[in-house]
Amino acid sequence: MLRDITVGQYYPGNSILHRLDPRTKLIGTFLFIIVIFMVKTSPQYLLLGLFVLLNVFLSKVPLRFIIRGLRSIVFILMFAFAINLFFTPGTPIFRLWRIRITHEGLRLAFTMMMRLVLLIMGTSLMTLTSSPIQLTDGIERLFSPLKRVGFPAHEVAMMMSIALRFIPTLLEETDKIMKAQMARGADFESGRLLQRARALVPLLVPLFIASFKRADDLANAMEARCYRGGRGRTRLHELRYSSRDFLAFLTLAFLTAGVYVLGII
Amino acid sequence: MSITLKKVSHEYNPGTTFATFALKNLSLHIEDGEAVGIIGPTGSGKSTLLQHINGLLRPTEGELEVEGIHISREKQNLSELRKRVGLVFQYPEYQLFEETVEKDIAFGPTNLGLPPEEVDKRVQNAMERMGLDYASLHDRSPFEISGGQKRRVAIAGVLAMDPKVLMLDEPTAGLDPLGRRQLMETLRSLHREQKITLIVISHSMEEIAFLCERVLLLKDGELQLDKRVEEAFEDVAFMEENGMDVPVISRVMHELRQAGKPFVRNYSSVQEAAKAILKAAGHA
Ligand SMILES: Nc1ncnc2c1ncn2[C@@H]1O[C@H](COP(=O)(O)OP(=O)(O)O)[C@@H](O)[C@H]1O
Ligand SMILES: [Mg+2]
Repeated sequence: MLRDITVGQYYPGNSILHRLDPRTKLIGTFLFIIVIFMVKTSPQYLLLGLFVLLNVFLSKVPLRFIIRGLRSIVFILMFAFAINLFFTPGTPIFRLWRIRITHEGLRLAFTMMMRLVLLIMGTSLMTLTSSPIQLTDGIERLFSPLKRVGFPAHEVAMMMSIALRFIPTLLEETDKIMKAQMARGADFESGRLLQRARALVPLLVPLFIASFKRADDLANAMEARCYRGGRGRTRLHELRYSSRDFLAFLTLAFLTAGVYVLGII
Repeated sequence: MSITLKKVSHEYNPGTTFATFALKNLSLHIEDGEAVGIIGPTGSGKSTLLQHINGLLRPTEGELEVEGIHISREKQNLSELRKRVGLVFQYPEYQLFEETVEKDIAFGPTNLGLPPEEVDKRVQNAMERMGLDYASLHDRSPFEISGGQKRRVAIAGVLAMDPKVLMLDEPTAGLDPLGRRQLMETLRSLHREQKITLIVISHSMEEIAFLCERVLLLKDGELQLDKRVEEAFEDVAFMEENGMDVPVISRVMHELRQAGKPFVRNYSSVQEAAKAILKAAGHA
């Protein structure tokens, strides 16, 4: 039941997107998000949409995988759509009793929805094509200039990779404890909100205890292997930019230019 | 009432790249009051099998009939089944969560909707059956008692639901020798004196021989063997071929037979075996 969660999932492969330097993908995604929020007109959205589809094609990740990621936020999408649709003031185009839909509302609802969809598709494309290790390596390298002013780049990256590493373990554990409590007659699926919240106690308490214990064990194991943080550590895989990354940045530059041009004509 | 499996198969994560068949076309029947041991290598589907018998997992193919309740692919309400069939998971102490031992054991019976007096009675009874002293333990925190006691408290939490069938997944894993022995004694008396049907997974052939009358060997989700314990452990070669072992007594008897001594059967306790050997040697 809990195994359907795909957020942050990695889809192993060897496509050009997989082989890009993680830093390129991180910066690229960041730029892409900025571009999304600059966009206003439909031709611009069309261009961004095509760009995302092109990347999906290049990544060789099945489209349904990315769609599945969208499914988990369907509720948020609908909510944002409805809010914008019904509560934007402007020239009404449709009216039924107190409900009023304006021209501006319709427009805003569509743009918001497009933005969210593009945002999710873009970022999940990044996580789908980079392993958690690559991503945290990339983050550490990107933030390492800040080490000089005391920012713990290595520690933050280490925390992230440990967190990512333990998500499946935690899901497995949740599944196990849930089953054990169900065997004692616990009911996690019915009842009102308050009852349901209370039903979570027998799940959460053991889960917290197990997590603390696991954290303690892991800390001991790391110390036993002389882990002392990032100073003086060398890496097995050094990150290096290649011509692929140059090409990727060039493509992004053209995309940004394209969006800009479509905006002024 | 009894337990019947008809061609039960279970596939985890069907239709994905992680799909695995954990049970393949399993058919078997367990009578009321039996004590059945399940053995097999890690990943052979033992835990998956137990979870089917109390409806935590549904078969992807085939069907089960447990204590008169039919289980198949279709979703259904199984609270009645959970009442009659108790399942103690591996390392059950990790499921403890309440402030006191008493409250934790009461979790199951309370979920059954029993009146408070009945719940109290059940808790005291379950603690007694698990050899836990009510007076000194009931208001302790389940997190500050010893490992062996935690395990007993967790098992008592299942017993308090008063199941007819008690299933345990590697109940002695991680206990010290004394804890193991005491738990084995307790489980045996539950079975012998209170006629509870026992289904136990264990990697210790000694424990299987001590507790069970019948043994099932699973391998890659398939039933490799279903025999009475003495018979099963006579065939040392077969057990070893399947990555299993036999109790030390059975091995001694096997060696004696190989040496041409006429020991026809295995003995379920060391004392019995010692007596037989002494007798054969002309000392008794
Ligand atoms: N929750 C699960 N999700 C996916 N696969 C599982 C799950 N539980 C067990 N499996 C797989 O099913 C097979 C049988 O597992 P299990 O029943 O736990 O075996 P055993 O208890 O004999 O060690 C194994 O291959 C295991 O990896
Ligand atoms: Mg198991």
